[in-house]
Amino acid sequence: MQVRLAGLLGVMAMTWLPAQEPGQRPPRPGAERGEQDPAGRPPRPGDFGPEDGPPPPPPPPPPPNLIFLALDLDKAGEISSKELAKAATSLAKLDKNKDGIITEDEVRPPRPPRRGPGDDFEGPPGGGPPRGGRATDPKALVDSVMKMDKNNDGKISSAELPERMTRMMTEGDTNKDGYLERSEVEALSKRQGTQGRRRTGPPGGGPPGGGPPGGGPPGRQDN
Amino acid sequence: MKTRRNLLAMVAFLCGTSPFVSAGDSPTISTKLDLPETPFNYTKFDLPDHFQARFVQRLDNTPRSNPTTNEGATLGRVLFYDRRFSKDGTVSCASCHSQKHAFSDPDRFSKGVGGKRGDRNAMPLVNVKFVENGKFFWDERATTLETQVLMPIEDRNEMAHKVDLVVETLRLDPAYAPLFRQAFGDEDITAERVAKALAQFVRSIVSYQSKFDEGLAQAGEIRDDFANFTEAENLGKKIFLGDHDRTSRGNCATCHLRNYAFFRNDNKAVQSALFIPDRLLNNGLDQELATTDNGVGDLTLNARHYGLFKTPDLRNVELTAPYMHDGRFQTLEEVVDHYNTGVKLHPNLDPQLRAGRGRPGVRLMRLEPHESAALVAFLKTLTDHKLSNDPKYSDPFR
Ligand code: HEC
Ligand code: HEC
Repeated sequence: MQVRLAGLLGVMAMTWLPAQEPGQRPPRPGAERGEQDPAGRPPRPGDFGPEDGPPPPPPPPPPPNLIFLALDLDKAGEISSKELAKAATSLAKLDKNKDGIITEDEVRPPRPPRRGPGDDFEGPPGGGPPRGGRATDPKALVDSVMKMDKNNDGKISSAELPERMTRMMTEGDTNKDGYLERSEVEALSKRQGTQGRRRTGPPGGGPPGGGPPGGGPPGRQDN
Repeated sequence: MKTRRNLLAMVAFLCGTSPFVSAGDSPTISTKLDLPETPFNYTKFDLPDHFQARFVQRLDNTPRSNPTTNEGATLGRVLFYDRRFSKDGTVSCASCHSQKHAFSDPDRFSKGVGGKRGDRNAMPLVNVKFVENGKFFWDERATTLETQVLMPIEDRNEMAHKVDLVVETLRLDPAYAPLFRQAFGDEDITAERVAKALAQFVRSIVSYQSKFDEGLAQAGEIRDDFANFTEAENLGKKIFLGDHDRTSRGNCATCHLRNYAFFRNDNKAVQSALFIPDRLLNNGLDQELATTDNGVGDLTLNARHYGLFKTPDLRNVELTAPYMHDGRFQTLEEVVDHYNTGVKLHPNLDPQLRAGRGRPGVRLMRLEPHESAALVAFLKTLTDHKLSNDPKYSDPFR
């Protein structure tokens, strides 16, 4: 692990700069991804035709500076000379993929939490409906699955289920009769819909990938 | 073992003249291959600088257990075009992923065995190697390329076959033994090796030789005007990047150019090579939460995931019509119209397409006709004609 101080300072400047730049334009319409806009572009008033929907959430707090946090061992909010002396070891912890090099994406501030598989059905933690509309009734989702029951026998057969959804049969058909009954779909929706990330989750790791782009290290696992 | 193989080879030889021969249930087509003496180069590309950026290279999803080799990709190419992968010997991977169309299908829903069709548009297979999380399909349900490539074989609407039977058929064809030996060291033909070789071939499909790439190489920076672009193309690029006016109409890059919004302190884009998002998104195709295809939501039954889809690379988009997961738009003009006036307030619509900043509703681009035309002109600069004509990706069967 080789730490080149000059390079690091450069990286630090990079992660700090955008947040501090004066005269930076306000977030773009609906920009809640915690991304920094390039400095020097003109402000962009939201001028797009309102249709209907709830107001957007307030802008997120500035993202944490990972390098500062790593150096500030006692979390005092400042870096003491003792902490500075240990800088090399502290910073080494940022090398997430342990390749001996700290790259930009390893020190990029995490994005603010996004709606993820762990969220509940009823809406964001604040209680309101999901953005854009009515609270979603889990029953409505189960109803929409049951629409696949083309022959109206009250259950979904493998043939009625699109091929891409076969996993629903393997995981949902708990009585192993080869059909998905309404109660099984309800149970599945409860299990997956509310505990997505811990249990099965969306295919590998979750859609609105917070965190570093793509939500995790590249698929380098041997298979 | 040896005698058995000889026997099989002999059977295959004897039957070699008739095109359809049964190996169990599966028809055998006599294999005459047109392969170069030394394999084509699938591994070393003369990539422009914007592809060599460390950031881009780090996205490569090639697993350590399956590095691409020229021999492996050559075998993969043959497998990709082999119609015996399907139950009735009529459908190969290339039937739905055609080189001329950047490895997608001009049919809205591709025709599989027996004329059956699924409910999604075939995805283009370009720069798949740079899909960082290595997940595939519109709903990302395949977690590696090595698992994905075998799935069409057993899909009842696609190849409607069995992996084991395909492997059996390949073992009966003497043309394959040397290809497997060159790729993997011996003549053992297994499902795992078939998957590896197919994945290598798919990963070798790298597109980097478009008009856009030439322009960027000259200009050095995506936001500068490109010398080789027409005025309209440069205007379209500005619109795509949200650099066109104070209100940033267009701004397609915020979703379609991965990490575009992250700038370095020198105000340069982090990457300008990959026209893909870094996550699953909803772009407001439908208003209702639940439709007949809910993308990730159909897998998780989580209301938050309804309507979220993976977005393919926009490179070569000129060749990959129709568009969207269900191929609902026939032309790029229709796509741009969607963003101009058609975005619906789906409950999971991405914030980038919401009015935001205290104002409710969707954000419509409302481009002028000449601006829409310029945007389409820019999208067409992403076409890589070398890729769609490169013999190394073409049908090797004679
Ligand atoms: C009958 C048409 C058909 C055949 C045959 C077919 N595919 Fe596909 N392919 C599709 C469709 C449709 C999708 C999108 C399906 C989905 O998302 O559910 C797809 C998606 C893919 C993807 C995902 C791309 C991405 O970026 O996520 C890959 C890779 C792929 N196919 C490779 C192959 C290979 C390899 C074969 C041969 C073994 C093959 N396909 C055979 C129609 C087909
Ligand atoms: C909110 C993020 C977002 C923005 C902004 C956005 N798109 Fe998209 N785009 C998507 C998603 C998501 C899809 C795939 C949707 C699907 O198939 O369900 C898509 C699909 C497309 C496709 C079809 C790709 C294919 O292979 O079928 C094109 C072309 C396209 N977008 C162009 C544009 C243009 C041009 C703009 C700017 C006017 C734009 N997009 C703005 C998210 C976005």
